[in-house]
Amino acid sequence: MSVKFETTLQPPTLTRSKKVLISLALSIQVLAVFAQPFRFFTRSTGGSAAVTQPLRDTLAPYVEFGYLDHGYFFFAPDPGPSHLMRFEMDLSDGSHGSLEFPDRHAQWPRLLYHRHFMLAEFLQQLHVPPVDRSLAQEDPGLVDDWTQQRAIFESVRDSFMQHVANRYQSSNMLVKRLEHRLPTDVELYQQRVRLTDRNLYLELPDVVLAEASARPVIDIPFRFGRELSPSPLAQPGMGNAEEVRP
Amino acid sequence: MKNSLPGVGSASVNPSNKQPDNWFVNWIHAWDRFWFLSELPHTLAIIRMATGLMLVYMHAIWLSCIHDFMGPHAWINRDTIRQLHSHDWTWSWLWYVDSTPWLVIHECLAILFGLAMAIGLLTRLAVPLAWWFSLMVCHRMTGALFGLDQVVLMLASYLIIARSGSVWSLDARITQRRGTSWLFPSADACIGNNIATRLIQIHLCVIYLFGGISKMRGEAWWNGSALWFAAVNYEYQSWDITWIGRSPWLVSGLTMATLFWETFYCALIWPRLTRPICLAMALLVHGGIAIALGMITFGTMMMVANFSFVPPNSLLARLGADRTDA
Repeated sequence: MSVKFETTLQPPTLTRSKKVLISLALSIQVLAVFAQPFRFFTRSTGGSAAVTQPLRDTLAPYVEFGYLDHGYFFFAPDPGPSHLMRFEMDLSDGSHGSLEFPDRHAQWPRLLYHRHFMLAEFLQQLHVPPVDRSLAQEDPGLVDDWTQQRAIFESVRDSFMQHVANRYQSSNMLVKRLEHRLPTDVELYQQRVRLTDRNLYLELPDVVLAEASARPVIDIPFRFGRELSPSPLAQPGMGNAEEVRP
Repeated sequence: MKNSLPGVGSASVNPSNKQPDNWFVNWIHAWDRFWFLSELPHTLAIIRMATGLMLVYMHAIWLSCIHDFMGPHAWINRDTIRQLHSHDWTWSWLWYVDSTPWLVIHECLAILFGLAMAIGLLTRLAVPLAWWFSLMVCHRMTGALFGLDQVVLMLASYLIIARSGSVWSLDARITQRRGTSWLFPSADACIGNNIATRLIQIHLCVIYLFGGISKMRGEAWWNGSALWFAAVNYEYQSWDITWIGRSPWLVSGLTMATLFWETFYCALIWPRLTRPICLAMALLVHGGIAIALGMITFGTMMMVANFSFVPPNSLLARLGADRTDA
């Protein structure tokens, strides 16, 4: 193969002032790329490291509008279970039906399937249990924050339900969150458990914490790569679906 | 002088062969060499074509299910999306549009700009427009996005400042007949190409660095079982590789290799000696993700982003192309 390209060897001709201006812009861009994962990485139950805040807050408009607010926590800290949504509903013909998302057989091509998969993970990531009003007197700030986060979850959940109700002309709908537990090698090889075994699908509760079987508090919630105030509401595995899922 | 950094080929000119002793002046010269050398557009042209085609595919998928994702009865409706972003700087004009014809027109335009970007037609306009329309869609599609969207938008944004349409494009054919202009730039080596290449490279290093050190927090990555748990995740699985679990040493070896490669990519990708190893690992890891974990789009675009470390001169030499320096 022989192709001729007319190219010119051209020495840089930028003036010093132009170089300084471009260097400044480049520095801001590199800092913006670095700022969000840096803050995301330093998160803990006490919040993110203080040193990350000024940079991230200053660059917030650029980082957020420019879609640079990612943590890049792909399959990290550990590859975890997947989450699905199951809609149970009464159909217009009087029958009862159920649907699960994502469904690799129903959603094709693969990218479309993955979009639905991410929606299910997003709902799981947003989930906080119903507000425990008994804490209102002890810690009103916590309850306010809790109420706000719960409202966001319910808003997204209701939007999902409206979509499915409209799509399938259904009523009396219920949405459940499922966790697809990852089997061990012993289960797979010795017990011959299949990856699609229904026993691996666990229905996640949506009840007041006190009523639930006391899940341990190990993390603080994050949304859209953005940190919320530290809260005991998060559950294991909660994180930003966009961050922990490639 | 031939620079040892990737992306700086023999067409580039080192402004100074004589290095001063002053540490600060050395820094300035190093900064200059890194950012302000001229670079040919050929590597970026390949990235442009791949990114443009992927944008076409992504928007075609959105278009095929436009009622599910953008219409009045979308998974996440307009009120909810505005509520989700009520405390941040995100904004999209699609937050205010429910009308199906307008949404269809929007996605058709996005496909058109992606196609123009891929074939290199009016590239200087097509690339920023493709990026902007995709950005608007991303801010509307919160919840349905993943790494693919991040990488594709990253590449498209940096291509805006490059002259990637000056070769292997319809623009190049037009330039041959009509001469050069702002809209139809020459294929000369230029600083914009180098800056775009550098920004892609640095962004990639940041992605891998935080991807790597975040994995170091995980027990499964340290005890060598992470790959197993990725392999048995049915929702990701596109090719059954659970047989790998019969060789624990292979699972843990590949897990460790991934962990160390990802963490130290940002350092090992720059020296010439280790760069081919880093790129070969990138091919293996992202190829594996594409084939076995069902993310062929994401895996492909990560490989495309890694292509930024292939200098244009090496690419041209590989293709057997002649380059005439005027």
